[in-house]
Amino acid sequence: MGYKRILVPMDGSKNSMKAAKWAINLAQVCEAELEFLYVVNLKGELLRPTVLDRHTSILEDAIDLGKRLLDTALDLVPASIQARGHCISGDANEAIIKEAQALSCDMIVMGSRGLGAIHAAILGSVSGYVLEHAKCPVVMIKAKQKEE
Amino acid sequence: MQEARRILVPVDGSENSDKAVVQAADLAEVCTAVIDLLYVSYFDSGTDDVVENISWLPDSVTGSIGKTSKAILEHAKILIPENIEIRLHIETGIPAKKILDFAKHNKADLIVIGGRGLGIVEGFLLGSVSQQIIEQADCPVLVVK
Repeated sequence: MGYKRILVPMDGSKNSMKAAKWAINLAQVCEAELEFLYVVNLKGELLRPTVLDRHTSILEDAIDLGKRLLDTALDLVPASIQARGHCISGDANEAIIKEAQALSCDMIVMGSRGLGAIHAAILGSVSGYVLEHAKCPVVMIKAKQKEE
Repeated sequence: MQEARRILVPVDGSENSDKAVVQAADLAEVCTAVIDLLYVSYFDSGTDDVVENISWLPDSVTGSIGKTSKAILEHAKILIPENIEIRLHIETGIPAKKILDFAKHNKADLIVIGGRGLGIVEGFLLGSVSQQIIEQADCPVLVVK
Protein backbone atom coordinates (compact mmCIF):
# COMPACT_ATOMS: atom_id res chain seq x y z
CA MET A 1 0.00 0.00 0.00
CA GLY A 2 1.91 3.05 1.14
CA TYR A 3 0.56 6.53 1.17
CA LYS A 4 -1.51 8.32 -1.42
CA ARG A 5 -1.42 11.92 -0.35
CA ILE A 6 1.07 13.58 1.95
CA LEU A 7 0.51 16.94 3.61
CA VAL A 8 3.63 19.00 4.29
CA PRO A 9 3.01 22.08 6.43
CA MET A 10 5.79 24.63 5.82
CA ASP A 11 6.81 27.60 7.92
CA GLY A 12 10.02 28.76 6.31
CA SER A 13 12.24 27.08 8.87
CA LYS A 14 15.14 24.81 8.08
CA ASN A 15 13.38 21.80 9.52
CA SER A 16 10.27 22.36 7.45
CA MET A 17 12.44 22.42 4.34
CA LYS A 18 14.00 19.23 5.51
CA ALA A 19 10.58 17.73 6.06
CA ALA A 20 9.68 18.75 2.51
CA LYS A 21 12.68 16.89 1.12
CA TRP A 22 11.90 13.82 3.17
CA ALA A 23 8.30 13.88 2.02
CA ILE A 24 9.34 14.20 -1.62
CA ASN A 25 11.49 11.10 -1.26
CA LEU A 26 8.67 9.17 0.33
CA ALA A 27 6.24 10.37 -2.31
CA GLN A 28 8.53 9.03 -5.00
CA VAL A 29 8.71 5.64 -3.33
CA CYS A 30 4.97 5.45 -2.69
CA GLU A 31 3.91 7.27 -5.83
CA ALA A 32 1.99 9.62 -3.59
CA GLU A 33 0.85 13.16 -4.24
CA LEU A 34 2.15 16.09 -2.22
CA GLU A 35 0.23 18.97 -0.71
CA PHE A 36 2.45 21.73 0.61
CA LEU A 37 0.74 24.07 3.02
CA TYR A 38 1.74 27.48 4.27
CA VAL A 39 -0.47 29.14 6.84
CA VAL A 40 -0.31 32.89 7.14
CA ASN A 41 -0.86 33.54 10.77
CA LEU A 42 -1.55 37.18 11.50
CA LYS A 43 -2.59 37.60 15.08
CA GLY A 44 -4.85 39.79 17.14
CA GLU A 45 -4.83 43.46 16.29
CA LEU A 46 -3.32 42.89 12.89
CA LEU A 47 -6.45 41.11 11.78
CA ARG A 48 -8.83 43.92 12.77
CA PRO A 49 -10.48 45.36 9.70
CA THR A 50 -9.43 48.91 10.62
CA VAL A 51 -5.78 47.88 10.74
CA LEU A 52 -5.96 45.80 7.63
CA ASP A 53 -7.72 48.61 5.76
CA ARG A 54 -4.92 51.01 6.51
CA HIS A 55 -2.15 48.53 5.86
CA THR A 56 -3.64 46.50 3.07
CA SER A 57 -0.29 45.14 2.08
CA ILE A 58 0.39 43.27 5.32
CA LEU A 59 -1.71 40.27 4.50
CA GLU A 60 -0.77 40.39 0.83
CA ASP A 61 2.91 40.52 1.68
CA ALA A 62 2.58 37.60 4.04
CA ILE A 63 0.71 35.56 1.46
CA ASP A 64 3.34 36.48 -1.11
CA LEU A 65 6.06 35.26 1.18
CA GLY A 66 4.19 32.03 1.74
CA LYS A 67 3.74 31.47 -1.95
CA ARG A 68 7.42 32.02 -2.63
CA LEU A 69 8.25 29.55 0.07
CA LEU A 70 5.86 27.00 -1.37
CA ASP A 71 7.49 27.53 -4.75
CA THR A 72 10.93 26.67 -3.39
CA ALA A 73 9.49 23.39 -2.14
CA LEU A 74 7.56 22.73 -5.35
CA ASP A 75 10.74 23.35 -7.38
CA LEU A 76 12.33 20.36 -5.67
CA VAL A 77 9.58 17.98 -6.71
CA PRO A 78 10.39 15.76 -9.69
CA ALA A 79 8.03 16.08 -12.63
CA SER A 80 6.75 12.55 -12.11
CA ILE A 81 5.10 13.54 -8.86
CA GLN A 82 1.96 15.59 -8.51
CA ALA A 83 2.36 18.40 -6.04
CA ARG A 84 0.38 21.48 -5.12
CA GLY A 85 0.96 24.45 -2.89
CA HIS A 86 -1.72 25.93 -0.64
CA CYS A 87 -1.35 29.28 1.04
CA ILE A 88 -4.12 30.13 3.44
CA SER A 89 -4.69 32.56 6.25
CA GLY A 90 -5.71 31.45 9.70
CA ASP A 91 -4.64 29.65 12.81
CA ALA A 92 -1.83 27.25 11.92
CA ASN A 93 -2.96 24.48 14.27
CA GLU A 94 -6.52 24.35 13.03
CA ALA A 95 -5.59 25.00 9.43
CA ILE A 96 -3.25 22.03 9.25
CA ILE A 97 -5.75 19.63 10.77
CA LYS A 98 -8.54 21.00 8.59
CA GLU A 99 -6.55 20.86 5.38
CA ALA A 100 -5.32 17.35 6.15
CA GLN A 101 -8.92 16.24 6.25
CA ALA A 102 -10.19 18.43 3.41
CA LEU A 103 -7.47 17.14 1.10
CA SER A 104 -7.87 13.58 2.44
CA CYS A 105 -4.22 13.26 3.27
CA ASP A 106 -3.14 9.96 4.75
CA MET A 107 0.10 11.29 6.17
CA ILE A 108 1.49 14.53 7.53
CA VAL A 109 5.22 15.21 7.39
CA MET A 110 6.43 18.21 9.32
CA GLY A 111 9.44 19.74 10.93
CA SER A 112 9.60 19.98 14.68
CA ARG A 113 11.86 21.93 16.97
CA GLY A 114 14.77 20.01 18.32
CA LEU A 115 16.21 19.30 21.72
CA GLY A 116 15.13 21.38 24.63
CA ALA A 117 11.71 21.96 23.23
CA ILE A 118 10.06 19.13 25.11
CA HIS A 119 7.51 21.31 26.76
CA ALA A 120 7.00 23.63 23.85
CA ALA A 121 6.59 20.79 21.39
CA ILE A 122 4.20 18.74 23.41
CA LEU A 123 2.36 21.47 25.23
CA GLY A 124 1.30 24.01 22.73
CA SER A 125 3.51 24.18 19.68
CA VAL A 126 2.11 23.50 16.25
CA SER A 127 3.76 20.11 15.99
CA GLY A 128 2.40 19.10 19.38
CA TYR A 129 -1.09 20.14 18.39
CA VAL A 130 -0.92 18.30 15.10
CA LEU A 131 0.35 15.16 16.83
CA GLU A 132 -2.60 15.24 19.19
CA HIS A 133 -5.30 16.02 16.68
CA ALA A 134 -4.29 14.49 13.38
CA LYS A 135 -6.31 11.51 12.24
CA CYS A 136 -3.47 10.15 10.13
CA PRO A 137 0.14 9.21 10.88
CA VAL A 138 2.48 12.13 11.48
CA VAL A 139 6.20 12.14 10.76
CA MET A 140 8.25 14.55 12.81
CA ILE A 141 11.54 15.76 11.40
CA LYS A 142 14.13 17.82 13.19
CA ALA A 143 16.64 20.09 11.49
CA LYS A 144 19.61 18.63 13.29
CA GLN A 145 18.90 15.15 12.11
CA LYS A 146 21.52 13.48 9.99
CA GLU A 147 21.66 14.43 6.36
CA GLU A 148 21.27 11.86 3.65
CA MET B 1 16.56 8.87 3.79
CA GLN B 2 15.88 8.96 2.61
CA GLU B 3 14.32 5.80 1.68
CA ALA B 4 13.69 4.26 5.05
CA ARG B 5 16.23 1.51 4.84
CA ARG B 6 16.07 0.51 8.47
CA ILE B 7 12.86 1.01 10.32
CA LEU B 8 12.90 0.69 14.09
CA VAL B 9 9.68 -0.26 15.81
CA PRO B 10 9.79 -0.37 19.59
CA VAL B 11 7.09 -2.76 20.75
CA ASP B 12 5.41 -3.37 24.07
CA GLY B 13 2.55 -5.66 23.16
CA SER B 14 -0.07 -2.92 23.33
CA GLU B 15 -2.68 -2.32 20.66
CA ASN B 16 -0.91 0.92 19.90
CA SER B 17 2.38 -0.75 19.25
CA ASP B 18 0.61 -3.30 17.03
CA LYS B 19 -0.60 -0.42 14.90
CA ALA B 20 2.92 0.89 14.65
CA VAL B 21 4.14 -2.53 13.52
CA VAL B 22 1.49 -2.77 10.81
CA GLN B 23 2.25 0.72 9.55
CA ALA B 24 5.98 0.02 9.56
CA ALA B 25 5.37 -3.17 7.58
CA ASP B 26 3.48 -1.21 4.93
CA LEU B 27 6.32 1.26 4.65
CA ALA B 28 8.98 -1.44 4.66
CA GLU B 29 7.22 -3.09 1.76
CA VAL B 30 7.27 0.01 -0.46
CA CYS B 31 10.74 1.11 0.62
CA THR B 32 12.28 -2.38 0.78
CA ALA B 33 13.44 -1.69 4.29
CA VAL B 34 14.46 -3.97 7.11
CA ILE B 35 12.37 -3.83 10.27
CA ASP B 36 14.02 -3.89 13.67
CA LEU B 37 11.58 -4.90 16.36
CA LEU B 38 12.83 -3.84 19.76
CA TYR B 39 11.45 -4.75 23.12
CA VAL B 40 12.88 -3.03 26.16
CA SER B 41 12.27 -4.61 29.52
CA TYR B 42 13.15 -2.78 32.66
CA PHE B 43 15.25 -5.61 33.94
CA ASP B 44 16.14 -9.21 33.33
CA SER B 45 19.30 -11.23 33.63
CA GLY B 46 21.21 -8.17 32.50
CA THR B 47 23.09 -10.09 29.87
CA ASP B 48 20.49 -10.76 27.26
CA ASP B 49 20.88 -8.45 24.35
CA VAL B 50 19.62 -10.62 21.56
CA VAL B 51 16.84 -13.15 21.57
CA GLU B 52 19.12 -16.10 21.04
CA ASN B 53 21.47 -15.30 23.89
CA ILE B 54 21.58 -17.74 26.74
CA SER B 55 21.27 -16.08 30.10
CA TRP B 56 23.79 -16.80 32.82
CA LEU B 57 21.07 -16.63 35.43
CA PRO B 58 18.90 -19.67 36.11
CA ASP B 59 15.68 -19.94 34.19
CA SER B 60 13.68 -19.76 37.40
CA VAL B 61 14.91 -16.20 37.80
CA THR B 62 14.85 -14.82 34.29
CA GLY B 63 12.55 -17.29 32.62
CA SER B 64 9.31 -15.42 32.90
CA ILE B 65 10.78 -12.12 31.71
CA GLY B 66 12.57 -13.76 28.83
CA LYS B 67 9.38 -15.51 27.82
CA THR B 68 7.36 -12.32 28.01
CA SER B 69 9.88 -10.44 25.89
CA LYS B 70 9.94 -13.18 23.30
CA ALA B 71 6.18 -13.49 23.28
CA ILE B 72 5.82 -9.76 22.64
CA LEU B 73 8.33 -9.87 19.80
CA GLU B 74 6.75 -12.95 18.28
CA HIS B 75 3.34 -11.35 18.52
CA ALA B 76 4.66 -8.33 16.61
CA LYS B 77 6.44 -10.52 14.10
CA ILE B 78 3.28 -12.27 12.94
CA LEU B 79 1.80 -8.91 11.97
CA ILE B 80 4.49 -8.47 9.33
CA PRO B 81 4.33 -10.14 5.90
CA GLU B 82 6.90 -12.88 5.39
CA ASN B 83 8.72 -11.20 2.54
CA ILE B 84 9.98 -8.43 4.81
CA GLU B 85 13.23 -8.90 6.65
CA ILE B 86 12.78 -8.64 10.39
CA ARG B 87 15.31 -8.51 13.19
CA LEU B 88 14.30 -9.08 16.79
CA HIS B 89 16.02 -7.34 19.66
CA ILE B 90 15.63 -7.32 23.41
CA GLU B 91 17.24 -4.66 25.55
CA THR B 92 17.18 -4.05 29.24
CA GLY B 93 16.95 -0.63 30.79
CA ILE B 94 15.04 2.58 30.60
CA PRO B 95 12.87 2.29 27.48
CA ALA B 96 13.25 5.78 26.01
CA LYS B 97 17.00 5.79 26.49
CA LYS B 98 17.46 2.28 25.14
CA ILE B 99 15.31 2.99 22.11
CA LEU B 100 17.20 6.19 21.31
CA ASP B 101 20.56 4.47 21.79
CA PHE B 102 19.50 1.60 19.60
CA ALA B 103 18.36 3.94 16.86
CA LYS B 104 21.65 5.78 16.96
CA HIS B 105 23.90 2.74 16.99
CA ASN B 106 22.01 0.97 14.28
CA LYS B 107 21.54 4.08 12.19
CA ALA B 108 17.79 3.73 12.01
CA ASP B 109 16.32 5.74 9.15
CA LEU B 110 12.96 5.96 10.79
CA ILE B 111 11.38 5.13 14.13
CA VAL B 112 7.72 4.17 14.11
CA ILE B 113 5.83 4.54 17.36
CA GLY B 114 2.25 4.53 18.50
CA GLY B 115 0.80 7.85 19.60
CA ARG B 116 -1.51 8.32 22.48
CA GLY B 117 -5.12 7.42 22.14
CA LEU B 118 -8.15 7.06 24.29
CA GLY B 119 -9.34 3.65 25.25
CA ILE B 120 -6.11 1.99 24.38
CA VAL B 121 -4.42 -0.36 26.76
CA GLU B 122 -1.60 1.50 28.40
CA GLY B 123 1.87 0.35 27.55
CA PHE B 124 5.14 2.11 28.11
CA LEU B 125 5.17 3.54 24.62
CA LEU B 126 2.29 5.82 25.41
CA GLY B 127 2.94 9.23 26.74
CA SER B 128 6.34 10.12 28.02
CA VAL B 129 8.36 7.55 26.11
CA SER B 130 6.82 8.62 22.81
CA GLN B 131 7.46 12.23 23.69
CA GLN B 132 11.08 11.64 24.49
CA ILE B 133 11.60 9.74 21.28
CA ILE B 134 9.97 12.44 19.18
CA GLU B 135 12.04 15.11 20.88
CA GLN B 136 15.40 13.42 20.94
CA ALA B 137 15.64 10.99 18.06
CA ASP B 138 18.29 11.75 15.47
CA CYS B 139 16.09 10.36 12.73
CA PRO B 140 12.53 11.11 11.62
CA VAL B 141 9.81 9.66 13.84
CA LEU B 142 6.52 8.41 12.49
CA VAL B 143 3.74 8.60 15.04
CA VAL B 144 0.91 6.23 14.22
CA LYS B 145 -2.65 7.09 15.11
